[in-house]
Amino acid sequence: MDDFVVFDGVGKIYRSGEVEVEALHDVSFTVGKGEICVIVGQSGAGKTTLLNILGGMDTLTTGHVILEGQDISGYSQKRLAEYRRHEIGFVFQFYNLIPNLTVLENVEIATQLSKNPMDAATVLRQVGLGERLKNFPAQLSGGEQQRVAIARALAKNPLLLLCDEPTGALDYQTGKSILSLLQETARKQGVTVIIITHNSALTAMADRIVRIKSGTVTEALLNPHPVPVEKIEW
Amino acid sequence: MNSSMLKNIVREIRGTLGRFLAILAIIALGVGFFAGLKVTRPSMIETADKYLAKANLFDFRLLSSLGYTEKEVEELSELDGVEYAEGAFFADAVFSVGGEERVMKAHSLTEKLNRLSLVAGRLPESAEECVLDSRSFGEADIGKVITVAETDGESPFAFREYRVCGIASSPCYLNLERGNTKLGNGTISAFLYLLPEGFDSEVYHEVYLTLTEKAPLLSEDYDKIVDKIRDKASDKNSEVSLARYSSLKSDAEGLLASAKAEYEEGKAAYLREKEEAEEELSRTLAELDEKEETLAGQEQTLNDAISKLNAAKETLTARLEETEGQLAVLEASGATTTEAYFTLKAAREELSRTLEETDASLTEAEAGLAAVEEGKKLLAEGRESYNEAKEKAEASFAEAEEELADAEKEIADREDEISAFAEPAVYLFTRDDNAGYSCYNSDTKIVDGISRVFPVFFFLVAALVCTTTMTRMVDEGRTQIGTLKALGYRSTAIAAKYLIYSGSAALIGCVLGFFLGTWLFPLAIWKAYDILYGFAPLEYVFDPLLAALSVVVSLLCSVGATALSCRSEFTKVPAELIRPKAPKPGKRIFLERIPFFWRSLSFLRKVSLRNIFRYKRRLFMMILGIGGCSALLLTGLGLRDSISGIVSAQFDRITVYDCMVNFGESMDGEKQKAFLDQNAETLEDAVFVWQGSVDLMTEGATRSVTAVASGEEKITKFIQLHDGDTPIPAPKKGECVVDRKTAETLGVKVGDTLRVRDIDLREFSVKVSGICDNYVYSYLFLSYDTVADYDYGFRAAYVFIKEDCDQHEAAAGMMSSEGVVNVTVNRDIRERVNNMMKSLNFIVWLVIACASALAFVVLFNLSNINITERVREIATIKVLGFYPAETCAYVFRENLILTAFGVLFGMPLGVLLHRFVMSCITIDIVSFENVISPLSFLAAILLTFLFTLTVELVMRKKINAIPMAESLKSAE
Repeated sequence: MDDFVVFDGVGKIYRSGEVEVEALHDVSFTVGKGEICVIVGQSGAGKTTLLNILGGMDTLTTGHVILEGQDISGYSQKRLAEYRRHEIGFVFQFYNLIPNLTVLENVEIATQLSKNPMDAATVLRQVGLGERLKNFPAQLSGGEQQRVAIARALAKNPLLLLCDEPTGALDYQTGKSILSLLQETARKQGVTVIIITHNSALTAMADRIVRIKSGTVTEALLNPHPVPVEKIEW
Repeated sequence: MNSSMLKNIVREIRGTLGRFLAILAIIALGVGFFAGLKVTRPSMIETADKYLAKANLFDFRLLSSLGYTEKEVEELSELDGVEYAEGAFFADAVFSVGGEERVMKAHSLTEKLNRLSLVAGRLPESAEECVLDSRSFGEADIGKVITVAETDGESPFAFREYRVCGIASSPCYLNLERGNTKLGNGTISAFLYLLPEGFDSEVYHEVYLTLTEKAPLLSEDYDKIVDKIRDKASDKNSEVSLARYSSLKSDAEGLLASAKAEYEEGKAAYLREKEEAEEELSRTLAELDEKEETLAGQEQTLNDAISKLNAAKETLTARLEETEGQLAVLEASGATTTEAYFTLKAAREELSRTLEETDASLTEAEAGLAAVEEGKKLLAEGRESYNEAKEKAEASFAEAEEELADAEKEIADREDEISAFAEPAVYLFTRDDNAGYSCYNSDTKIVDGISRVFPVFFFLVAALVCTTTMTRMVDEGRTQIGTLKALGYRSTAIAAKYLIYSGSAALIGCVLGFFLGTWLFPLAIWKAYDILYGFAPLEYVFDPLLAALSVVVSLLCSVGATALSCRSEFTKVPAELIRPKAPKPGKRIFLERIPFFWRSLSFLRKVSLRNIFRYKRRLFMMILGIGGCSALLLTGLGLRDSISGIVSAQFDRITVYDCMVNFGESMDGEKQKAFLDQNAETLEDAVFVWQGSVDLMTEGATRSVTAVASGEEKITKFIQLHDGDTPIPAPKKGECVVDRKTAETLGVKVGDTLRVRDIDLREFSVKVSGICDNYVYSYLFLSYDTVADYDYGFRAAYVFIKEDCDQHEAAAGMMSSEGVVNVTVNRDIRERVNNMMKSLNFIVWLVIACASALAFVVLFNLSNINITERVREIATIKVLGFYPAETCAYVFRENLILTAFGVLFGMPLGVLLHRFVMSCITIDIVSFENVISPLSFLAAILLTFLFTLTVELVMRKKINAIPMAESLKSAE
């Protein structure tokens, strides 16, 4: 159970001409299936690099990343695209909805790709947007847009839900409701969720906490008593 | 502007080189096309101007039916405004050049005017040398001898043979037209120049004038100068010609008067001589008669005397016998001594003596009679000689009378002649009446016509491209603008970045386009016209006004567009600018109101459609750009169709005969049959016609065409008259069929009446019974009955050669038939026209190339903008797991749909554009067919899509290179 996601000695070096920047250095941690994991770190700690690698958006330089027993670190670009398509659901800080598609269509664009999708409208009703299926993103508030993004990620029925600062662009209350939505759905559907944030307060809601600093893991621990989001203050 | 701002601009350019180059390229294209086409006519005119100035081409050409002597030429040269005048000779003749017969026009070389440009060899130095037309002859012909064919009349040439000493082009013949003649098939095939001494003529045939005032070729100033002097020159021409006429007439009248006096004198002398001779004769006759009478009297007297003498002799003899008897009695009686006897004896003596005397008288009388006979003989001789003399005199009288009658008749003839000696016909021609010159003028206008539409397109698209690009750029730089504003930079300083960015791209593009355009376009078009007017290398023209205009227009397109895009951004406060721009809201488009259509689409298609209709400006630009491009492609390809279609339309559908035969004499029934019999082996069929050059006239318009008059219905087998698919029957008496171009030029419809003037200036009217398709040359078809009165004769024939015969061999065979002057194989003409059309192809390819370049720039730029605008979206869908191919399809589907729209818009536009360009292009001998083949539509469509796909291929890399991490960034 503990080794649903395995990071094993992952290093990432960016080369830009003569300059080499080591973004990640010997990052190792694991996440169990169905867990909510919060990866927390300051700006420039390597969070995004880690997310990119886990999300199949970037390759790593050393080490291995294993998802449900499959080593994705050796994947080709095409295989990576397939990986993103079927295994990963992504929630962006800025929602990244397609402005020209309605709410429903924004979800459908994802379900269309998936092998085993959920019904788009059902998912949207689950995230509380049953009334806004025909609206365009621009007609929604930030929180609502993020709900759509979460619905889009969930509807693919992914193995892993990756959230990049999901509350970064939202106000406090809305951010909270989004996090609680994530927590709820993770629990209900048993989806493994990895949330990346700079906000340490969020660690309270996590099953597992990974702290990173300067490109390496400083702490990886299990939270024996995760609390509901509503109870967290920051 | 400080240095960091400048650095910023330079870096911006370097960083967005593709965009910078796109603006540069579209401006370069627009300016190149605009300036290139605009400058082509001035360049062509400049080229001709230099050439003609160097050659010192005449301004006026004067003709008089009486010709000119040195005196008149001098008088003409003294006219106000005239710089110089020179007389010249010319004559059309059939020349034999290396065994080939050619109808050529011979001119005399002029000293200071119309100078030839030698291509090879030298100018004539002796009267027996000539220079030949460089369009028909080459260096190899130098040294050959050309022979003037024998003619019935007086030869205008001093010699029969001329040696070729050079090959040259003449400023009087700018293009291929060599004019018409009464000889041969009516068309002059080449010119030749001799020294004036090479002609045998007492008077100059024409006088060329140049004017003191000069102005550039084909300019309004030139027309003004010409208008100012034309009438004066024309009047002077009449005046000197009339003066010459009067002096010639009075000379003739003087001569006549002295001739008359001489005649009268001669006549009087004759009458006098005649009288004298007659008198003499009658005197002789009287003498003879008198003599005859005398002789008759003498004869009578003599005869009377003889008969008296005879009677006396008888009496005497009787008396003698009686006396003898008496004596015998007496003697018998012996009375011999008696007195009686003696008396008797004396009587006998007496009687014998009287008898003797009588006999003597008788003999005398008889001798007299003989003398009378002699006299009679002499008389007869006299009579004879009298008769002879009389006859002779009468003959000489008749002769003299005849002579007198002749003289009288001659005098009468002279009198008639003098009274019929009409005032001379005089003509004044300007340069515009010179075929080459006026064709050149109209041909340069074609290019000008094209330059009126095409560049507008390019500039419109350029402006759109610039606006879109710069708007995008300003949008991208929002935060930067906001920051700079917050830092305290003035709006103008910030805007300067964008203005300089687009301005510098436009300026570089403008300069590049201007110089490339003004170099390449005239060159290409001049090359295309080379076959028609290869008289000099092209002169390049720098037109400062055009350059300034190009700069202004390109700056308007770029900087103007930028300023417009900036304005909206700069009115905002910095805080607003620093915040990301609210994304343009999604909107339902009208297509969504058609549920059955909308529902059937996958939403990838939906999103494409929404994108297309959401960005109106891009839609407009794309449709205009791509539509314009496909329209241009279609125009170019259509031009090719129209041009290449002509040859087959003309020679496969209209003038389908194999050969045209020209005869030196009119072919009546007998001769036709002889010709057909002689060539029975090779000829399939033939129709005899009259063919000649005529002028058609309506109110205000005149046009020279080739008239074909046939007496047979089957003419339509050889020249198939039709209007579209409807055949037109051969014209009947008093009717005519003209080609469409002529009808349009003259503005006549079926049922209208045309006045026709033949080469001898006789006029008649015909009713237009049909307007036919025709593309090469212009024709007037008549029934021979219409012109039968003019005695033109059947001097030409169209023939079909039997399938299995070689056309040239058959033509050569016909050449040797009696009366045949020359034979033209239609296939050769087809080849010639074909070659001419090929030169136009060059222009077509130029248009196609430019259209392609335009398509590329527009598509590239739009795709580029489309992609940069949507980097985040693209990164997002990549993160969502779109495969690269799907990602590209997601982006490019729009382009494909827009291309389809563009093509839909472009095709009808192309048809219109094609029609317009066709109406601008008028080459004198060719009228174009207004068709675009379905294949060209297909090609234009496919090419446009091909360009879209090629651009996509390039852009695919760019899309694939978009890092997915872009999706994590904030919207900007």
